[in-house]
Amino acid sequence: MELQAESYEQMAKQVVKEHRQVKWFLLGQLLKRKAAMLSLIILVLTVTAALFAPWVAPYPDQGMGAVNISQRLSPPSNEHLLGTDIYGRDMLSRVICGARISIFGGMFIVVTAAFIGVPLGLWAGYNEGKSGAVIIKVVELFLSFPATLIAMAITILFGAGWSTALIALVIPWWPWYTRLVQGEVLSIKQMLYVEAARMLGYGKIYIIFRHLLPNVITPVIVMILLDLGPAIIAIGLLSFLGLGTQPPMADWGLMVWEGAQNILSEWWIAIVPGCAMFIVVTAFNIFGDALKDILTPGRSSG
Amino acid sequence: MLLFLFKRFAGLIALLVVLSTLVFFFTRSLPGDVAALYVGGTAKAEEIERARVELGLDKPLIVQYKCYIQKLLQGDMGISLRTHRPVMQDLMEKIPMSMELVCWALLFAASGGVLLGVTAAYHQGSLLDEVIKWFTSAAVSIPIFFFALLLQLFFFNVLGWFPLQGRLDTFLEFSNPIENITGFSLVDTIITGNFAAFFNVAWHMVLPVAALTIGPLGIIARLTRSALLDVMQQDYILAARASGISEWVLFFYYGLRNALSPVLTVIGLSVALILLSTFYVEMIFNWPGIGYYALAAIMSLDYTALMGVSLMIGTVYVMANTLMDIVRRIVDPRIK
Repeated sequence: MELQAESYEQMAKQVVKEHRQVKWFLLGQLLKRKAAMLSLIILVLTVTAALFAPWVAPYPDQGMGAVNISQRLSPPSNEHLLGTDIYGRDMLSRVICGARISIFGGMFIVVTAAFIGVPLGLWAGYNEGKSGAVIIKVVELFLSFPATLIAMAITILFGAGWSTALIALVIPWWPWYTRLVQGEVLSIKQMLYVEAARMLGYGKIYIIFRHLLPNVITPVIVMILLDLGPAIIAIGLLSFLGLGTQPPMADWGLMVWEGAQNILSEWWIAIVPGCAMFIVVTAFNIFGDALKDILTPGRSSG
Repeated sequence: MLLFLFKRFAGLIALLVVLSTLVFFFTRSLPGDVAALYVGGTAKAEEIERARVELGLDKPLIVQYKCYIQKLLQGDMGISLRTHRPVMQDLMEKIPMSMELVCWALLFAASGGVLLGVTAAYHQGSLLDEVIKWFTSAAVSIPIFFFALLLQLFFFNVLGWFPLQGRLDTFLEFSNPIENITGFSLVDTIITGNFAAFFNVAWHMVLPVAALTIGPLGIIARLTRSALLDVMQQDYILAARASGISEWVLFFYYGLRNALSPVLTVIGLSVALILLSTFYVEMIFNWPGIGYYALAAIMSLDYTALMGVSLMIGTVYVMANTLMDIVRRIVDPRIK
């Protein structure tokens, strides 16, 4: 008996050790990918800058929309590193303040969509009865129409604004998570341990949260990371049309629109926020791709 | 196959009914008095009332809905509040203009994307693969409106190779005007032998088409690469390789055929992406197509036009997906 207990203990230790090794393995894999590390550094820097925008930006009040008409349309210089826009506002400050809506807005959209979509997907995958079928029908209905068009329609209906735009983007976004999770659950629930749990008389809710959720969490995290870039672009698409953030607030899409009016003479007004958007989205995409490779190897990427 | 076609067709009809219903109730709940919008800003109260009766807005909602469906089946989408012309007529005029851009973009994105994806997979791990990876990563990350502006700035302002915007140079509008036969300006100019205008239009189309192509190109290339690499790991490829079939045939014939199904789905989805991108591209390049029309409708809350445009885009999207499903079934008999 004693020997057996000892070996159990050893086995447990072994499992813990392997678990730690897995963590180190992930970190090591990430460190090996230079592009992903570079993206991570860029992301950490921009997120920090966005978080502390009022302290980081050289002219925080202009970043929030204060006008400085005497300096209007001045090209990049020492005083204004990235130039000023049509109202004389410092572009660097505007871009840093705009990062708040673009990056945190993107995070809000994706995370909220996951919070709505994942539970519904778990439920629909585990219950193949009526309620599950209804959820799947609704999801299919949403997925049969272009997401951006749905979001545009909602912002037109409820009035443009950054909060409306974010909610309008969540509404067509969550079904993707439901579909992903439902598909995963359909295969996981065939597993013996789920059947065993059911046999032992555990309730639906318990099985869903104890056995199904931990197994779908990795693909969901990967999807969240991969969706951040598209979400930032989607916010930009709405605000470029004037359906999202309203002036004088700073938002990258809106700033590109403002700059598009005099693109040929004062090019920096459109190029600066456009580049910011491009760099951040690329960084999110590369980082997401790398994590996907590491976390879910052998799955075809879409 | 026949049963499948029937089912898909029934699903398509059901979706279109849902779509038209949604669009109807959506546009009816838009802010603003439709009749007042129709007669314009300075109208008197009785004029607005008259417009209300004329547009059928005084009837109960359910009667309006019945009337709307009846008219829709006859191809009547009502009168645009902005242009005061039948929406159908406006759409028929604008659709070919946009379709010219969309078709070229789709063609380049699909063929270029598949080609890039296969090349990357074929040279997996090499420098070429890396380069393609960087290019496609950038292609899917660049916002369409920013890319369009960059193209203008670089190719018009810096290099001066391509025109800034528009469809035809102003002096050609007078000397060699385009006769409207099919609505597709490239086809029309060829039919009428108007080669000066043909080359001018083609020259004007390069930048907008490039702007529309880039996003879907990246998506398709990335998907093709990963789908193909998945397939190439399978046993039957190993067997074929062992029996001495050349690598090139392996990739392009045996591999690509089995990797094609997800690629076709994505090509179907890119139709919607490109259509929505026309909103931005046509605005930036001042191209008088459906995107430009839709944008003007959004700005002026022209609800009948919005209804028409969203119906049209929704229909194209649903039909493209159905079509791709059918093609996938033909290409890949395993799909049940």
